Amino acid sequence: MSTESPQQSVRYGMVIDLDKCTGCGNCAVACHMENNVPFRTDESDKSRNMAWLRIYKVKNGAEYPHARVAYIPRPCMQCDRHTPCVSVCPASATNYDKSTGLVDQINTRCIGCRYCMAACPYMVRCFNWWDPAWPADAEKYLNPDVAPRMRGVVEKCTFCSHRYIQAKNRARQEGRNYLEKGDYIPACVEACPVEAMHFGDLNDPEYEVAHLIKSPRAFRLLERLHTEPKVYYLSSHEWVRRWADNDAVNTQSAYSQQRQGVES
Amino acid sequence: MKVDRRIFLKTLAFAGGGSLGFLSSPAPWHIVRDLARWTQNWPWVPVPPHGQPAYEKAICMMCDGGCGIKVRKVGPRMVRIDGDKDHPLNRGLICPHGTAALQTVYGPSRIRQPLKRTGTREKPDWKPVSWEQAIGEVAAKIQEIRAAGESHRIVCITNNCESTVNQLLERFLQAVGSKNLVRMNSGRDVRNVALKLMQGVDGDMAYDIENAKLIASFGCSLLEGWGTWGRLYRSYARTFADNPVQIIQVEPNLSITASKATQWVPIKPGTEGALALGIAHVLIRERLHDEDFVEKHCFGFEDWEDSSGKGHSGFKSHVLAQYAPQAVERITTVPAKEIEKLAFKFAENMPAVAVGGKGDGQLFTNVYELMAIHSLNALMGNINKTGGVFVKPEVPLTPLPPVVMDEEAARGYAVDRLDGAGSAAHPFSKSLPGNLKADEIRMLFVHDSNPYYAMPEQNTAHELFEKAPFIVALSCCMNESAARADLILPLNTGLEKWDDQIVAPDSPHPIYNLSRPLVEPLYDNKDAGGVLIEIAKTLGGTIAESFPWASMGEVLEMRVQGIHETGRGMIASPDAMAMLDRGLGPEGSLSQQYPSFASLWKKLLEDNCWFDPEPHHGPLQKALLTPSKKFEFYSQRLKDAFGFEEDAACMPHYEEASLNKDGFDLVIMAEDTLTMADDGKDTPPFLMKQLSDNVLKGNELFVRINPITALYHDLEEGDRVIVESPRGKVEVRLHLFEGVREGVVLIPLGFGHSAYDEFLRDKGVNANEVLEAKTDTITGLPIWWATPGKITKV
Amino acid sequence: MSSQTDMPTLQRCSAPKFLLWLSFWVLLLLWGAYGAFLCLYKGLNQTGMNNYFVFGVWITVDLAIIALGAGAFFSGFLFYVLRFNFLKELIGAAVVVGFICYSGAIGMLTIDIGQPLRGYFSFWHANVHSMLTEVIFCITLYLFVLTIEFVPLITENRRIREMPFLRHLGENLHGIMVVFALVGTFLSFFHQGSLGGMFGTLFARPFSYRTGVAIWPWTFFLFILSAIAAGPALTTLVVWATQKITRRRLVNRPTLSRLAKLSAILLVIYLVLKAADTIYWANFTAPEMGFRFTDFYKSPYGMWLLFGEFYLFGLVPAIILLIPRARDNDFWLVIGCLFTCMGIVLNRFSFTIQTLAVPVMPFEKFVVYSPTWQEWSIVAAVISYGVILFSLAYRYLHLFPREAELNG
Repeated sequence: MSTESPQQSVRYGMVIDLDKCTGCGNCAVACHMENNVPFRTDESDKSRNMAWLRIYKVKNGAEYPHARVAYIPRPCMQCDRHTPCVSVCPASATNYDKSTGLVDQINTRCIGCRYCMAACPYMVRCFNWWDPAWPADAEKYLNPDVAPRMRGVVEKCTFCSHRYIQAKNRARQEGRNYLEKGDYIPACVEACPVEAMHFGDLNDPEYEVAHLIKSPRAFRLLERLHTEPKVYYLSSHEWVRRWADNDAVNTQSAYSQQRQGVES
Repeated sequence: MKVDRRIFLKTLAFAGGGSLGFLSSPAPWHIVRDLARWTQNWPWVPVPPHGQPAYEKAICMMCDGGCGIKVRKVGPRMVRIDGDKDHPLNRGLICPHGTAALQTVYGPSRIRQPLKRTGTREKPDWKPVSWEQAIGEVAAKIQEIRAAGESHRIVCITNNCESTVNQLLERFLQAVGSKNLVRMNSGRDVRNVALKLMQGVDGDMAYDIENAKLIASFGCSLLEGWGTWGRLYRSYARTFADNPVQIIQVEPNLSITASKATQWVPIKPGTEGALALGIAHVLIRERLHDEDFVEKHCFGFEDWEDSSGKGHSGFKSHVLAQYAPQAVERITTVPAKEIEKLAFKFAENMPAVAVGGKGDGQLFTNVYELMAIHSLNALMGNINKTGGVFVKPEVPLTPLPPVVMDEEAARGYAVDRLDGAGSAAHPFSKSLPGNLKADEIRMLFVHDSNPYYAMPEQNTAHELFEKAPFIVALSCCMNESAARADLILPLNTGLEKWDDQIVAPDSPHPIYNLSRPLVEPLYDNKDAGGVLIEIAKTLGGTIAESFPWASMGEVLEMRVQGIHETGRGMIASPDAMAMLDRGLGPEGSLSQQYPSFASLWKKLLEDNCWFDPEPHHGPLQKALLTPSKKFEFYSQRLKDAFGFEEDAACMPHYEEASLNKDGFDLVIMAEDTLTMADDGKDTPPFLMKQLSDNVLKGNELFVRINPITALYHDLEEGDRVIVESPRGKVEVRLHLFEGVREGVVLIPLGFGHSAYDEFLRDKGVNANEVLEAKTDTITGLPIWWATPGKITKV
Repeated sequence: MSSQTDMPTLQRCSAPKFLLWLSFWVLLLLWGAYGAFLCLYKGLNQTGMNNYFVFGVWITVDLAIIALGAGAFFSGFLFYVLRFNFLKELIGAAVVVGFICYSGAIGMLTIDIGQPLRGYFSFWHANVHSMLTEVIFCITLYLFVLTIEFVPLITENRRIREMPFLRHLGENLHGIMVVFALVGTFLSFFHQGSLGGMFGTLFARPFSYRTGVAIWPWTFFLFILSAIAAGPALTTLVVWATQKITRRRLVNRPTLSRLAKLSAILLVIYLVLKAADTIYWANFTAPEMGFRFTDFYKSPYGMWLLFGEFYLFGLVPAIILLIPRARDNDFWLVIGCLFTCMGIVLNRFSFTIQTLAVPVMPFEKFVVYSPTWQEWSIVAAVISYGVILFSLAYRYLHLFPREAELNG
């Protein structure tokens, strides 16, 4: 599972350009449509609502008219180094696929102990506090490729791993044992109207992402924790990059001051 | 019963033995296993069925932007909406409303069959009725009104799309004997008046943003739903391209557009017009403007004399005298130096467009402000020029045949409109729903719009729905207006119906979107066109004669003939887009590609969109239809209509917005957000999911103010407050945000619905309750974007 | 009536009085049963937990009672293996208390997980990398061990002894109890440690993450040490309380003092190590993750938690119990033991709740958790269950071998 491991050929990852992102939310809506995420009457309780992809809004903390905001879409970070949620699951319901680097959740195996949620620093995982329920005919728009989950299990962004499986099946039908560029793209990346989201094999120079992650604008969330996320962000603004990690020791970016600029 | 030891022990032994036996049998294992399996297949967790997969193209009907979409179907179900990459407007980009549209189509607020109200309008009960009965009742009511010779008191309020359905509604009213098709207003109407006054054209301004190098937006929420979303986002994405476009956003508050624009120019609310004139001042002073264009094609730039020999001061001296950067700084708070820089930036990045109007197009401004902004386009000669401003071209559809009118129809149609649009008082406006009076109306149709919720003139709207004697709603969803109707004729949604959109707002290309049913109607609903045809047939006589078609599909097929006949343009397809990207025009004419109408019609049904990549806007003269046949900085129409003595009154000038009122120390501004549908339409649950908990928490709405405003008023984050304006008051909570201008209270639109479903109903308050609509004396349209206000802590 | 000499008839309160006593606890138990029903039937939305506080009061109580239940394994270890004979007087009581704590914890865990009917998946699809797997395995196995240790106590009951099979079973089990004591010690050692490991290995939660030895973070050892320090304290408290309630002398007073002294010594060792751990964590581990020590403590989970854990409920009881005159005085003995137990509860509370309250992402917020009545009802039910079981055990079993002699 080491990042340098040469035998691991494919590591799917994402690069999100925060300079471009307008926080329009299309990625999240597309994700939730694709993955049959349930919704409730009161979605304003963010501590219990279900969102596979959440968009955080951060501020630079300056006064009017120097105030600026940035939007940080947060899918699952698909951590690469002994993925925090995978190692803790007592029932092996969270899976790290060595051949792709995808971190997937096996919902029918999950016992709902929520230890994985405690382990995840990115607040990626959501618990089904209620039975998922769709009003009247709304069940009709559910995607048959993704099984709706049941109450009492944990779910999360899977990088649309069902699309990976479909892409692989299609490739196999075409007599290929590899995927071509564009065969497999998660719903959010597909939906981004400004091409702020890029997806592909981080190890394969054919893909744009392999180059983008080496950009001086690139950073990841909470790098100090060494979870080695496969989701990278790009920003040309120093103040945005400062939001990526806690930096209590460095007084210049006083953590507590940063905290005041939070809007989620 | 006495239990002796023997029996006790025997029982114990049996129980123990039994348990041991049970435990050593396979039964417990099976039970445990089956229970676990049961939890994995709970019958109340839906299992979406598989089916024949298909992708079909369609047109998004969530707004009138006209984006192309691709619908993924699984058997009879529609499961996913993506952007259609082959649609010339949005090229695959759609907004979250479009992505979540299926939640509306399959949503709980859909009306499933015709309904007749039994309770009161305030507390309605609904009785399902058959279509025969519903249409019969409508027809009977119309007959009754016509018999009484009051057909001109039949009014229909409709959306502000350009579509065949709206033309059929107009036609229907004409055949019945009424001129009163009243469209819901939008900020576009003010722009149209500005265009009429300065260019003399009846039509829409179309901005060639695709080819502009700079977009100067005076308060337009370009990224929050202005115009066609997909088109604007493509343009925004171009700010990062190798050959980038710059977006300058002039706006008091840090909106998404402001935060993402190349430059944000913070400005005092309501002074955008002054800034435009300040920029004009610098352009003229530095002779940066297109002197050739101004000399040849503009009227009223230099000082001039009229036929009577009276001298008038021209735009040049007017602007040079009054809008020097220092003076404009005092008005707008934008530093004079910055104004100079903006003017140079504007002039150096030609072609550039200046766009005006507040919010995403739902907010209404003073017409002089739009004239001031539009004068920048004329100064730079960017009229009818690539990368500039065009007059929106027509789509060559076959016109509907002349209406056959009987005596009563002719009588009623000769009577003036009830809303006064086009009258001497409001000669430049097309429809003014705010002027309707309930007691002049005998019958009110409400088609695909929600005036009760969305009309800026809320008092008028509420009175209409209280007092209009008979209201028929044609609506897909149970919105506030339908909920107060006497009879509801339920409509199919965009994906189940025949419909069209004639052109997209603001696009310089003629674009025709055809919408056909992708699935069988989900409920006992009909297309609006189909309903009109049926009512006409029931009414019989000349009315039926005016509606000779069998269905809406037939009407549309008839109209598309016109496109076939011109032989121009192309059907949106991957090939067409590839050619466009290579900078090529259509390969041969349309008639070469589709020799027969049948082949064109078939292709159009598949691909939904016809467009002309090489629009023939014709010579400049076609876009300048003023009395002087020139672009008029001094509007002679305005002078003729109102007889203004003062020259400035006929020219773009800055009028101070009356945002001060005794006892009100703040300005309440309406905020257009992308998340909420602000025109009274439905907001799907997945968009509600996107709302931050400092916008809506539980059912409480947050307004945003600057922390300094909060400090002065002794308010804190999260406080419950009363926001009060001269019009009314609402209880909300506070969120402090440095991006809001000091002294401004920003209240988001689109909340506070009392109808629709549990996911939208009762969430927050309707900003209309505090926003006061003032009437623009020129246009008769409401001025509605800000209002004096104050905040008190609860 | 039995005539066996080693089983003297013990004086117990009247049946109505006993029933009255039980009825109060049964009511509480029923309240908890209703809460449990709601949680199982309607789901965990009945609790105050959310996606931030994925663990709540239940896990706190679970950790706490498992730690306090450590008195059983530790006493067993001291008595059977190290031959601390003075513990004979209360080894039975310690086993019952342990049994109550462990079975209660497992019952509570069953309600706590979202899919109780699939609970066995953690055995079936066990993930050997997970500390929680280790905990679940060890707790379940140790409950078996405790059950086995409990059996001889039951078979000593006069009526049950009349059945030869059960009597022989009990006597034979008694003979090999040293084996179970060893197995129990081994299992307990690991799951107490793993419970600490559960939090210590959360390398993405800077509040609870600790460096350590090989795969074991320091919390692994600290949890073991704190459990064996607090376990005897609870045993002491329970015995003392039973004496007060029944108004009978059950053990020799010096026995309690010796147990308390043992607890205090262990507590001191624990506190020293814990202090070292905290200092290292605050100065090295947390800053490396980008956190300042003070970032972790915000109202209402302020520094008082740390102060309470270290001083008021740490050093203070340790000192009290180390002073012979103090621990020989009932009041100070109880205060000392009670504070020791509370210190452990506070420690487990911090690890469960505080860990989750501290935002790790810079743009998340510090959050506060408040349990619902449903959660409290189940906590109350577990306590009632313990009281009821212990009352029954005291009334019908021979928990205290010297009771007859001391009250003779």
